[in-house]
Amino acid sequence: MTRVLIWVVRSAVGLVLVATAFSQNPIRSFDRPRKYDPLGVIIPNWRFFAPVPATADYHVLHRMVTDEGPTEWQETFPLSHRRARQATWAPERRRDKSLFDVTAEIMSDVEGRSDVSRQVGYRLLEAAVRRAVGSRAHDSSIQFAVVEARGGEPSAAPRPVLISPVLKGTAP
Amino acid sequence: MAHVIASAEHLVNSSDTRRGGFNDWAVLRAAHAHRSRFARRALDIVGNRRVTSCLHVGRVLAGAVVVMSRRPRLRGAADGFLALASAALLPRHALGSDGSDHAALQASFAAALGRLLPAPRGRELALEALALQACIAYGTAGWVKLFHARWRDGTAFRSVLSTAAYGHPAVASWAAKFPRTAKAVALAVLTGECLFPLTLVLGRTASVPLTAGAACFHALTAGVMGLNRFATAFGSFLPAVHFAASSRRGRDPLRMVFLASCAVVLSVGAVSGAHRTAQVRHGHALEMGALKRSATPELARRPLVVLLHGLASTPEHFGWLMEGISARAECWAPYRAGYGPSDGHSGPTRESAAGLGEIIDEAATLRGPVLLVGHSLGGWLARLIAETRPHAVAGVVYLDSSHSGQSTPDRTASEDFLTERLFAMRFLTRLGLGWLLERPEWLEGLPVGVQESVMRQMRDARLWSTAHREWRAVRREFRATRDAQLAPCPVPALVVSAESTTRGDARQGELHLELARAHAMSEATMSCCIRGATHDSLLTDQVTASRVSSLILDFLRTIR
Repeated sequence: MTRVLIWVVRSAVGLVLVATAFSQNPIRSFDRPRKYDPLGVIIPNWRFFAPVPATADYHVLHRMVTDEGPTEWQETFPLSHRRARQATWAPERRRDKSLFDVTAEIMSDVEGRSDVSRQVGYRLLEAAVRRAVGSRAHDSSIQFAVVEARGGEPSAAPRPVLISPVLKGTAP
Repeated sequence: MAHVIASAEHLVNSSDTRRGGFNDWAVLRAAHAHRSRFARRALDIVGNRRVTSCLHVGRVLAGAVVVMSRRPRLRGAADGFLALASAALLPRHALGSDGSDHAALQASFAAALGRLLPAPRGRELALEALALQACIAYGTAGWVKLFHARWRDGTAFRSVLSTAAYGHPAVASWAAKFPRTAKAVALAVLTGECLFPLTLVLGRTASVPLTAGAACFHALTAGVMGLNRFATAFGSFLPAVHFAASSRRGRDPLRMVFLASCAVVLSVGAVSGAHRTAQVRHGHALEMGALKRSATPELARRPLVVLLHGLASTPEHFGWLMEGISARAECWAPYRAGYGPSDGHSGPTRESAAGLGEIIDEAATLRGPVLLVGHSLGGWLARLIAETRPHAVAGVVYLDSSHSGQSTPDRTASEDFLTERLFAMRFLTRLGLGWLLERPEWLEGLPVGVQESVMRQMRDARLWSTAHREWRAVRREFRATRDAQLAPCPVPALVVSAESTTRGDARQGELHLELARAHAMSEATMSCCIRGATHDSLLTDQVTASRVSSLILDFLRTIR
């Protein structure tokens, strides 16, 4: 009985490992086995920083739009400064990573799709910006932008990659 | 420990799951709309903020039990809970999660197996499973990077270090000051990752230096890149690797099952790939013979429209256009050289255009001057044909056409990306992995009758080999001639642009206008931009394609 149990578990684990091995291709459209992962958690993704490395930071900026015109752009979610304790404990890095993921998701669609406003990432970002500036602006409208900055290339100026339409009201 | 830290961080950031947070389930759940009803219901339960918090508190407690308890069964149950809770929470915190969360889940799952299954086989199975998972993880992180030039030449390492998200100012300035040393470090990491699976082949000889190297690597990335949880999560893989490498080298049943299954999958993939190639090669080829046979007096009165497809595309992409146009004209969409059943090799555009031009000449002899319609690179080829054979061409329709002037220095990165992508597609399909390619969303937009044929070609190495070779030739040619003025062309033209193309790159819109200006000597020349359209949706979206068909038919009426 024990041998049967071990072989059943071994076969199941072997199947997951084979599916994992064949789902780590450099192009994500070759991830067909992941379709059979009901929650997307059984087959892990081990393609860290690959094949295209994260070589840019994406900053979210916003400005108020009033009857007197728009204000200056200001950063909505400043990235956390690196501290020694972050080697063990870094809750603020979760938010930085969320921001990175959400902007990366928007960026993946910005060039190919004519309307990104229905995308989940865009909706999350819009709601997050509304909440972040909600208490600072009562009756004015807001507009936000995603700007790409390449720290390693001083010659490369920050490049706006997405500018939202003017959003009426700021209540989250 | 990775679970405890991860859940504690989520509890501290609990506002992230409220309205306006990046993990607000009310919005995020839409990203899981494609999952089964059962999965969506389960995720909705976990998505409830109270349930989410309870699971995190449970993970902290279970983590404490694993660390402090000495009772194997209790620790096994706690590991099982950690694995299940992590699996439930990963989609819940889809944004902000990283590889360490997946690694911690795998480690807990293996630990639960090892502690709950009968010893010693259960323990060996768990450790072997974790070791294999580690080899897949490190091996993947290495070999996938080889597909990007910036990883191979070491510059990606410096670029990552200079970001605010994953870099460190002091280390970034060190890397900028000592680029050769930084490159050596980057290549050493890459080599270590690629060679890591050898630990299970070479045993302790390889496992001692590679696991020690991996431990140092994670300690450094925790400090430098702020990847704090990676050290504990992946650190838990390393003892299992050392154990698997030390014991019963190469004879573990799970390892045998895994390797045999991989061999079977690759063999089946190679056989089905060869079968697919045979189907594509012997598919229905549109030849001149077909045109000659249909050259009845009645048909000969109808105008002939020749549609030229773009790079890494198929004639079937014109499915909707052909349906729209065929009521008033006869359509002919040949497979260009190297695509589908067509022989020959695609190369520089002038050579391709010369080959196509001979066929157009023959077609014009049978039916009179033809209307050329080209999408993307097909548009540029149509221009070259019209330029050299104005007598055989009644007009040219450019559908979001390529232009030699598009290869500007600021597009180098995106061109490099396309080169690498086409190379990777060719590599994977040649390896017999075409069956792994998912059906793209746009495919569902094409007429049902052509979808299978297109998918078969997309999974075939032939299409990607041709596209890779063609793109490299086109890129060289465009770079060499990007500043050259377009020669005037005496035939009328219709230039159609997709809104997303001109909006995403204003220069592209100017190039399309330049195409129209080159045909300005004909009064019938016109240009337009289709609102809401993308480069591909001009063909793949039925509504957009029907608008394009109407434009082509109007243009056809004007020039006849």
